[in-house]
Amino acid sequence: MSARILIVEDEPHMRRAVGAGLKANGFNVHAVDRGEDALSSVPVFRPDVILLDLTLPGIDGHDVIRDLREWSMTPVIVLSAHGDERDKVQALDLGADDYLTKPFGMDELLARVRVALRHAAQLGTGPEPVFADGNLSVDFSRRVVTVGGTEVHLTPTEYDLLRVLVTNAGKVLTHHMLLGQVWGPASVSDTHYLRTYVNQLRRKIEADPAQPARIVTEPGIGYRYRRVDL
Amino acid sequence: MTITAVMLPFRHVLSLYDVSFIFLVIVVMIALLADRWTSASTAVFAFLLLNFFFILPYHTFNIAVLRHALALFVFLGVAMLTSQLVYLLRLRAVEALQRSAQMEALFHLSRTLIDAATLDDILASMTRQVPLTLRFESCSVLMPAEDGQLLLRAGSGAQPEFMTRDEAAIAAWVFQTGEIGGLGQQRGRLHQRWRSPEREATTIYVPIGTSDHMLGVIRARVANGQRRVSPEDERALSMFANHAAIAMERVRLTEETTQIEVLERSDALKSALLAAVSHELRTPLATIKASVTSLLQTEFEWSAEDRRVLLETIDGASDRLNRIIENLLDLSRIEAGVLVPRMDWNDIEELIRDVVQRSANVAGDHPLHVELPPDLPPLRFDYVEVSQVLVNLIENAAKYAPSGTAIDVIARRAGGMVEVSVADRGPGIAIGDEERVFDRFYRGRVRPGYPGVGIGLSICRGLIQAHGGRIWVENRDGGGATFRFTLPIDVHHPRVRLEELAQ
Repeated sequence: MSARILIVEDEPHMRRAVGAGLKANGFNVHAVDRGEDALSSVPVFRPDVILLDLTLPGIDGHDVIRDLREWSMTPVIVLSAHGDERDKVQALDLGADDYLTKPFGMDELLARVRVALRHAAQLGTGPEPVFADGNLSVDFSRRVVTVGGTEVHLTPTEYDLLRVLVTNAGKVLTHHMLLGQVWGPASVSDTHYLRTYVNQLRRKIEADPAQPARIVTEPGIGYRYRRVDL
Repeated sequence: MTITAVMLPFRHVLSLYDVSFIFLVIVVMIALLADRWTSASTAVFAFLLLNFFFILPYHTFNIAVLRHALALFVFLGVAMLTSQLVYLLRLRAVEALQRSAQMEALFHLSRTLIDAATLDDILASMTRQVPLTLRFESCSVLMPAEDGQLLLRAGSGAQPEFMTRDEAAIAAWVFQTGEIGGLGQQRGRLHQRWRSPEREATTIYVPIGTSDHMLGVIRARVANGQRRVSPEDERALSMFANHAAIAMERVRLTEETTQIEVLERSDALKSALLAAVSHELRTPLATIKASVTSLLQTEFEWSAEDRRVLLETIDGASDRLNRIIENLLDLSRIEAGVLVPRMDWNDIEELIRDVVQRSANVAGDHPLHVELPPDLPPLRFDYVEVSQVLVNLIENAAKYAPSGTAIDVIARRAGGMVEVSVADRGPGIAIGDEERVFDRFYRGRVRPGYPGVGIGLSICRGLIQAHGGRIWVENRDGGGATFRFTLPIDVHHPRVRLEELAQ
């Protein structure tokens, strides 16, 4: 049974091109051109992933996310024009999972869609007691982290940071979200703390901390845990 | 009186005329020192003394000899006349001195006003000069705010914190009618004088400007209990106000002219930019159009290989279009002066690695070689903008470097800065052009057919300068050019104290 993807995009050429590309890859695609139509078609079409353009006539992309997240956890990938990082950060803070900057390549889009689908599947089954990805394993119940079978010693903050990242694997987490969840709401502007701890974490769990493969920087926005084994 | 006593014993020796002259001298001296009534009464008193003590018969007011009587009355006339004249002369002399002092003050004021470049300079000069030279205690200037209300713009001397309602009312009236107004105190109460200030006024309000273009109001106050505002003050202040008005107009016109010049320059730039942009954007578009229409041909089948090549060409041209558009947006933001980098603490190594990874196709067939020292401190910069600088520099290097040669991207610490350099093995920069390469539209090393309008480097300069850094180019030993840019290290960069391990 093929996965269902809802495209919300007001530009017709874009809608057609992306729709065609996704269909060719075996997805079941439904496209709308307005935010209101998106919200009304989600309960009916029940998509597994939503591709949402931020600039829409009628209600804005951000409002769609805000509205949607009140009753649905369906992964949302926002499509935004190159430029202001703030729009993307806002979308992610409101609950979007990932973003793509126009112009983007189809291969990139497909990769993100697959990551989002995996995330959606996990939401359905509920949180697992152990997170495993390649040679990294995180046992949440015992708070033990191992890389290649060897236990890695993390400070409490480092562990919390890793936990938030892996439980949202594939999803882009903004600085604001990470700081809020690891350090508490009072620290939401101390990005240097975040950066330092991310670097520490990379030194402990990445094969090559200088070229991080797992904890990926989303410049100007935040970080994302990328699965090495998909 | 003393003089009389002194001369009494000699009356037999001195003649009447000698005594008269001596008395005259005294009267004149009194006139020099005191006011007219004192000197007049001294003259009369001298007359009486002369009569009583020095004219026969002595000790009476009778005069025996007619000649003596004549002399006496002549004396009185001369004394009165002289004393009044001397008094008037003195008065005029004082006035002349005052006027010359005012002229001097006005001259100084004009001098400072000519140099004044801003409105604030003008107001400062005025409020400083007026109390100094016109003997006021304080001076302030009121100018209309957005809503038309007169507000205190500048002041010196002892200033009250705010204007009373009376003061505000009279200031507004002066501003509206262009007439001089004054505020006085009578028996301790504030007392308005709508006409030119009577002698009771202690504060004078003088309008600045012409009847159809009022700019403000000068308000000057005399020190408590010192004196009253005089017509001379009024005149002097009016002159000051006129000078100030002229200076203010001049400043305003200069500002307008500068603005017009800026607009004209930016218009010229926009035209040049539009012309260049059309060409620059059309080039990759032409490539795309050609490739796509080729592929759409149904007359024959393309081989998989050829199809792949054409499609990759289209992909590359689209990326190039995207970069050009990004550059143009930056350029327009720089030109409009609205480029405000979003500074944040970032790792320059992370940026360099990230950009190098993304620039594989920009660099084309030039391998990118990266050298990064360990432990560079975090720097404050706008990640997106500095990425753009690096991409532009790499693209630039790729344009001129011969096929297959490497492009070196090196970072190092240099004093209070971190320096990043991008070096190629191309033809280098012509001697003397090292600065000009960063000008807009400069295309020094260009060979015909090479793409590029020449805005990439000027954008790099704009972006780096907005970060407080420097960007420059040097020719390289062995051929080629090295572009370097610096970003300042903030000594207060955050150093996070890390936790101890819990386990």
